[in-house]
Amino acid sequence: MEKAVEIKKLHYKINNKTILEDISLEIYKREFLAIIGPNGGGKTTLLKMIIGLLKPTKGNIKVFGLKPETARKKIGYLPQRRHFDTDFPINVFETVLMGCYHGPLKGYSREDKEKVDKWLERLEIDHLKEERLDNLSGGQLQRVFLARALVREGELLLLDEPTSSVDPLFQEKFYELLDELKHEMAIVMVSHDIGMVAAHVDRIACLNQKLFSHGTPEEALECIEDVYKCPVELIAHGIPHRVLRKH
Amino acid sequence: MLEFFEYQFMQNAFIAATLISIACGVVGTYIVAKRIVSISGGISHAAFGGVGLGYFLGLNPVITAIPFSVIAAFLMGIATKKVKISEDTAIGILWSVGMSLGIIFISLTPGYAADLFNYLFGNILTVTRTDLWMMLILDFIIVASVILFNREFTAISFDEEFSKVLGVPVNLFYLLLLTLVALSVVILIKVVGIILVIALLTIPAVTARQFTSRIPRLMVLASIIGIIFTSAGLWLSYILDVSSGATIVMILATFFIITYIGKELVG
Repeated sequence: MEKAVEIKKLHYKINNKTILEDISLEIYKREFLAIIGPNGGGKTTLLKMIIGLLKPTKGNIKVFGLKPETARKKIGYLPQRRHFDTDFPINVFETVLMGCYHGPLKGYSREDKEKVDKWLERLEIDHLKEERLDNLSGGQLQRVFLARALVREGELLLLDEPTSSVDPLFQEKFYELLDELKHEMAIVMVSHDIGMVAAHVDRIACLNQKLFSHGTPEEALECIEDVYKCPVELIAHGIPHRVLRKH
Repeated sequence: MLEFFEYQFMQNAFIAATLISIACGVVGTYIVAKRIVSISGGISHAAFGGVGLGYFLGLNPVITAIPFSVIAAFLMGIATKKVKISEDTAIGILWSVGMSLGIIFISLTPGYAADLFNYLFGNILTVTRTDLWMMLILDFIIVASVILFNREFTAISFDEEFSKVLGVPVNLFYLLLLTLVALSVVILIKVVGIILVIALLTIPAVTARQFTSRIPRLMVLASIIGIIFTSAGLWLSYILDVSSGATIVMILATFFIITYIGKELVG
């Protein structure tokens, strides 16, 4: 299988504190991989390295055979929700359109705008097109940022805790959407929602400074207590669903 | 009322009011949206070093303020991004260093700096034809930059990290935006003075912000608000015979408070 991401012996330190240690991981095209692990385990850091926002202290990372910065055009990215200034004078359509950015002095084309409309519709927020961001609920806002990531129509989609603050009803739809998208692109998703993730992804990487396992969901679940260093119960959230696929 | 326009200095004053309002509306929109009000305040005060240099070299202080404020903007931009001290500390240091340089230059200049007060607090009635031409050129540079690079300015104002991911040269455009702030400061020095510059760079934009959430409309509306209230302030200062800069700021602030309370009451 062709590789989308190739990480070799990657280390990352900040102020002499080791965040990531000896990570080697390959992600294949059209594969759906989840990264799980405790808070502060380096999940977000690893994602930021794949998109080139952070540079490894040691080791190597290639995306589609290129340096991460060079490969960015092929990557859609949904950052972790942090405190965010919704007071900014911009509406939903313009926010998503920004995802189409081509470079200085290159405007947005009609195709760009059509793509925005298409993704707004696919994420069921087309009725909010003209809405200001500060009038949106947390879940709606998350969908806007998801649309901004998807509108790039890249070959690799990086999602940092996409289901936090999304309403449960949309969560189910969101996973259905990812099931469709994984036929078109590689997806890497950082998540806490182990139960939900296990039923949909191809592989799970358990990360807590080191990579503990990166095999099938079944394998990952076996090592999960080592990673979290405490017993973990898999709880279904709201909607009944199967944790593991049929064998 | 009409005789008031017959004076050349009055005509100049009203043209100046229009020209500064355009710069304030356009650049002020980004200053408010990106929350770089204190950096902009720092740049404007540091520009005083350039005014002092003008006195010292016997040149027009507004001209020497151009390179000085642009350099101050670059230093602010670099200091707030790269230096390992907090942003507001860096601003505070550059702010006072710029002003101190200005004071030293003026102390070194023989004679009494009679019109220094005008540069600190502004006097729109001292605006000359040369000043107007300079304002026009700087306005042109500002508006042209924003027309060409509004996508980048909006993106970095909205979300710097994500802009990087999109491939926007974030640091370059951040410095360019601060340069535009520096040029606006220069445009404003003669009219409202270094100390009051920040009022014109923020109040029209924040007032307009209450009525629209689209950046282009916000810029136009902020410029119009600026033109109306700067002119009104100018006229009032003429009638009451008080400082034009301070009157303009008071009128703008009053209008902002009225619209703010009005909006809260309505809904």
